[in-house]
Amino acid sequence: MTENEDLVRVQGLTRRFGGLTAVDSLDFEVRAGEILSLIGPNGAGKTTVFNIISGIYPPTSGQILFKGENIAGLKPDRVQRKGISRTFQTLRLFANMSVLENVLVGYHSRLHSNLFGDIVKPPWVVKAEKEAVERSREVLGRLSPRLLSRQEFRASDLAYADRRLLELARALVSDPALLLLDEPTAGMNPTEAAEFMDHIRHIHADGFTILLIEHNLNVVMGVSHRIVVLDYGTKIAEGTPDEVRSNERVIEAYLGRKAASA
Amino acid sequence: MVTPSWRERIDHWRDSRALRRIAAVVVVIAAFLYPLVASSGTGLDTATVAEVFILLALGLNIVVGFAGLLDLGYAAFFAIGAYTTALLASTHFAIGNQTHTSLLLSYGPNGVHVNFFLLIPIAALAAALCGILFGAPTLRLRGDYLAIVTLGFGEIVPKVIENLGPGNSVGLPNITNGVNDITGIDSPPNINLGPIHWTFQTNDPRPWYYLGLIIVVISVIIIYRLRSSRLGRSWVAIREDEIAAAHAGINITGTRLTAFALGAAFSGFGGLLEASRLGTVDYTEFLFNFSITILVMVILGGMGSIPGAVLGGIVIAYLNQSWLTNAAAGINNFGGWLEKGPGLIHTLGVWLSGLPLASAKPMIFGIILVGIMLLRPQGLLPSGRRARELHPRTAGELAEEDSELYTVRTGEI
Repeated sequence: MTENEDLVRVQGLTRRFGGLTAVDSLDFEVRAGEILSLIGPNGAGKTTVFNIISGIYPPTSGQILFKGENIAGLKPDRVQRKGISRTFQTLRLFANMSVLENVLVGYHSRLHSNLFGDIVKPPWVVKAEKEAVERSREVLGRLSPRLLSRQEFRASDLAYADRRLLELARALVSDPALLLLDEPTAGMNPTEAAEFMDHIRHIHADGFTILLIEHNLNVVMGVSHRIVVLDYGTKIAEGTPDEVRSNERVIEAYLGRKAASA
Repeated sequence: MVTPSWRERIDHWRDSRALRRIAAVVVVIAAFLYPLVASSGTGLDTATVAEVFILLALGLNIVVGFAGLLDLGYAAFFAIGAYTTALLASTHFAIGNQTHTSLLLSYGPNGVHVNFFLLIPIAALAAALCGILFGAPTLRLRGDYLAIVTLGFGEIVPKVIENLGPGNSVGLPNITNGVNDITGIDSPPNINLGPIHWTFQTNDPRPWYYLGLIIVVISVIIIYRLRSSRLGRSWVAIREDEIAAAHAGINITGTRLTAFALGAAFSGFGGLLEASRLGTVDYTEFLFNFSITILVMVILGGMGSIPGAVLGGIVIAYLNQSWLTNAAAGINNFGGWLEKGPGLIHTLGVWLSGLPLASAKPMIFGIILVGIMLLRPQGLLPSGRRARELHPRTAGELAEEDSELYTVRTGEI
């Protein structure tokens, strides 16, 4: 896939919950190799878009073309197998599993085994399992040596920022073509958030395509190549950080009409 | 006292794993030597019952402990295993008037008789298939809802067995012999392998004990391997966070179904062993209260813990078969001893020795359970995971580890 080709093309995406239209005929595309941010005020429909892409619920209508194939309505595990991993706005770790086990679960779709292999453990299964452990440790170590040194720790014993990193490692280990990060810096102090953004830059430098939801505008402006702004489920602006920053509709959505006209 | 560093702690944990392996070997050897020292035949009979209970606890532990699915009707699968054995290895099904005999199977007017060793996979498979049959439409449910559905299955299976007897109201032929039970179930064929001479038809309980022990040991090995496999990891992940597990690429329904089916398979082994040892099956053995008894074994031993399930099965078997009777008699005897005392103590003694405690065994059982759960809520032999859950690290411990990490790093520089 060449640079700037569309990895994901969202077309006419709509999702209604009862009488509420959370996402309203939304179109945007994610290009291979970029960091695209989805921003907007509270309740704009950002997380709903993520949940539809990652398969938590199907869209009411519309298409999500991933590498040219419509994946709208697929179950989460199928979507992940296609190559889309995600993190969650509210952390979702396997709290009572070790740090390493958490990452290993993220590698699940890359391992192939059946009941026979799991019970008999022939050499090829043992080898694949060993590779999985190595790969998981490599991802942990690359993100944070501190996390790697704590691989035997229970996930819920980690500090908050480390847990965020662990969730990122779990999403990364399967080498996804697209990474969905839902407000990864939520609940972090400014120093932690800045550190986390460095991690995101490093991941991008490693060749990952990232779709990011973020509340913190400073963070978004600093890291994104392009930004899509949502309000009430529709796209109100799209462009580079500079373009979006000076867009009147965006300022209005965020700060109100008065600020926009001032 | 110097607190161990984080590295030492990990090393210590590894050592303890080696220690556990040694402990397991010692326990298995002791179990194989047990018949040599067992005082009487009844002692070995109880041990054989314990083996069946262990198989049941191991199987339910997969469902409840690993995958976190509360199953309140697990005895149904035990019934399937037992009745599969009863139907395929007894005089119950008379076919034609000529007997056909081959190595693993004979059938004719004297009934269908499948070889015991062929029945091992068949009973497990039958139970597993029922697990899939019950699980497929219902495993989308969660928690309390699933518990109620399994409760329903636990009620349905014995009812179906009861009502598929002779002259049943649904117009089917006699399949399960209904309330009359199925009797005359085959024993395993005699085994003569070098120094081993096992005859199952006599009153000697030792062959049964050894047969059960071998099945238990193999089951434990299989379950250990499953637990540390990709599948075992998926079970725990789903238990911990279903949505996160799905987004890690785990097929939730399929993975739960394997837990249900595999859990059922082990109760199939248990049912086979039980049916062929007793020579008879009675559907009233498999009712709701027995499902709960199996659940008690799992929780008592420590949910998610394999050694825990083994110990839970042993404790409940011995409580049921002898300890409760002994405890009741012990209290009465204690009363008899107090009777020799003066005044009030004498009165208390008379009261205690006259108490009809034989019928109060369930109460004593209940008191023991409440006591154990109060003293060890994590179970007798909890899994590492569960123990950590109940005793998380304190902020102080974490800070200490942090400072050690820092020291180690600066030391390297």
